[in-house]
Amino acid sequence: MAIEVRIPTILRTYTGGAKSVEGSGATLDELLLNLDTAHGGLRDRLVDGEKLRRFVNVYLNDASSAAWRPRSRTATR
Amino acid sequence: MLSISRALHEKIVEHARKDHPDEACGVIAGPVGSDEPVRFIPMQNAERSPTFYRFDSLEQLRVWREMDDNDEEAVVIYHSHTATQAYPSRTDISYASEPQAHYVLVSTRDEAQTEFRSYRIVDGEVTEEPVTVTE
Repeated sequence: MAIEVRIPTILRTYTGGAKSVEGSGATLDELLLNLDTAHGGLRDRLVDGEKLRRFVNVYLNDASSAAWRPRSRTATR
Repeated sequence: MLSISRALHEKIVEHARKDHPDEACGVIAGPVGSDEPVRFIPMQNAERSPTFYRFDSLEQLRVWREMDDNDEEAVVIYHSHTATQAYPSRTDISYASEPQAHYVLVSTRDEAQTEFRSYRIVDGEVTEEPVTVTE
């Protein structure tokens, strides 16, 4: 099932200017790896080693990761 | 160089004074590529701290989406320091991720006088810039 991923302006250089791209993955970790195959370099802006970079927020259906601070295996659904 | 109207300059200073001794923070949006601060958006300091600021993540999502829908970008990202000089801290620098923005720092450490300075922060490098207040 395709996941719609909305991209903030400052990261659109990795998506050829696209505001929104599609990806897939059962977890956030899988999704970011998947996105990185089509948009190389995007994942490195978001992830440092195993964790999201400090000050990066990921919103799942508009709920903020600041509240659930995910481990890389958090389910995307 | 930051060019900002007196009215917007006053609004930033007022916000900082009102929230003192907590740090105040917010954004001024303008049309993409214009470098012109137009729309004042005071925001919550989710840290509610006299020494740190952080945008509330849901408010940040709402504000940034709204700017995107309006073809605006963050021209000014401001916050205040309440006991130290108006210069970005190491945390402020690592928090800064919008290369086109003018990072404005205000200090309310002196009751009589508010310091107002502006910086570009790109790839962790801070460069102070002059501020022109227009009538």
